[in-house]
Amino acid sequence: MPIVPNDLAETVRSAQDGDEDAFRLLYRTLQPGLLRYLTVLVGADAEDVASETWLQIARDLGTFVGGPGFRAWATRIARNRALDHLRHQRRRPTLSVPVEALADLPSVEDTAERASEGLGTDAAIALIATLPQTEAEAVLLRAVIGLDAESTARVLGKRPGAVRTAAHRGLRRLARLLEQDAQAGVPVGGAPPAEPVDGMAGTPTDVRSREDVEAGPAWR
Amino acid sequence: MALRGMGMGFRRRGRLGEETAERLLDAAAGASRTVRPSAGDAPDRRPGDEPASPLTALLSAAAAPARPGELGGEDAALAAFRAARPDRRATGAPTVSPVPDRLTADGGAAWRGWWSGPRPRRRPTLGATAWAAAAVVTVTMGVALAADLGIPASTPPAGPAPVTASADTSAPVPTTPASTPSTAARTGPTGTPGTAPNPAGQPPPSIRGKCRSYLARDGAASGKPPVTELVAAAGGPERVGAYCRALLDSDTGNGNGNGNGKPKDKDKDKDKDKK
Repeated sequence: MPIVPNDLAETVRSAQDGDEDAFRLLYRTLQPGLLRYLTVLVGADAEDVASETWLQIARDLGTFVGGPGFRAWATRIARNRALDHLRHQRRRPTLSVPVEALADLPSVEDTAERASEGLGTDAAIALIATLPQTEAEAVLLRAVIGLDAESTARVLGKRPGAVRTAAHRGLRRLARLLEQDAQAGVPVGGAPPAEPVDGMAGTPTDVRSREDVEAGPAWR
Repeated sequence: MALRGMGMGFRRRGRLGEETAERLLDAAAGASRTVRPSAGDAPDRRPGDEPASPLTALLSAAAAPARPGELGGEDAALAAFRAARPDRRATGAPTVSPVPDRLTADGGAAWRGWWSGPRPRRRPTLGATAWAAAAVVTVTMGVALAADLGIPASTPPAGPAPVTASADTSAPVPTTPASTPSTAARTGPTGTPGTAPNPAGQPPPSIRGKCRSYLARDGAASGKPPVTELVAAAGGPERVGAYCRALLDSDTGNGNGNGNGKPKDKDKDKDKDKK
């Protein structure tokens, strides 16, 4: 398994010592994943929330005490900023990518090539965003930001088992969506998932209504 | 079409197995965890990889390397990084290696610590320790440091002492611009005894110009949002006005011309509603 728990530890330490290049490296490493995650949470405001996130990361960097979790720490900051943003905006998370973009979901032959050119990423994120909120977050934190199941659970305030289940359900749903797309030859974005699991509808759950939003001091 | 063929692999068993799901997630996670020194780096796809399933391809696309547009906030983030450092020094907080070195030996402590937020900076014992260490280091290193910088040793070391301490404990030669010339150039003079402490640290010169034009068009009243560099430097859009006034006041040397000599209150903004 390729996961290295302390992949950023050295860089973080250098940044804490004031090394600007180290901080730049942290930014370049984490920002794409954070921005895509935030796009799913807050839609078109993702860049603003990402800016706030980096302000706070820069400000609180000295209080991060090292250890395995800088990636998770930063992700948690991003999520808190997003939830704050949603509370202030009083609106539901939306997609910044128009549904039509989903029609451009690349075919299998093209995907590898196009992903390397930066094409298809928006469509992929938009497709993940059609999952129920918890599943979408679990898939994004695991696959896009690169957290392990434990860290993902910490960030989401859930048990690791619940996060694994959510991620697996999300992947299964995505596989079904891709299959439907292949069989029907229609854009996958328009249709809700065929078999909602546990009564969860295809539309993202309103983040604000989740009990873990007010999960107490751990979120502050 | 080929997509259908690949999709059937998942269909055949009716559902995606747990192990397969974990493997897919781990693979994608491993790729997305790769540290990429620059935006233009090649993706992590290896030439010998087996043909991707639709799901694998989807995850790869989602975790693709940075696209140029995604790194547009880099300058603002770095400005925030620079702006944050004088603040931490001003609070006398134990900013760097002493804390991590001690706590990371115990993984549990590190985990407990990572959401404890800014608590360490309020802990009086740590603060006192930092100040004591700063005093010792300043006494022993001050002369050498001053000599390095060509400053008369008689100048009394004042407020910025802690950064001297932290710089000294982490880097043997703090004033030598070794790996990061810009950082050294910035933090060096700031930590120098005798340099008038700027309430806002040492923002890039362009910030002053942007502040002037921001204030010239009457700031927030103009309805135009401040530029991102200013927001980053001030710590939030609603603080740009105060930040700029304080910054420009400090330039003119009289500090608090309008009684607003406090450019940013770091502790407050967490709870403050953002507009």
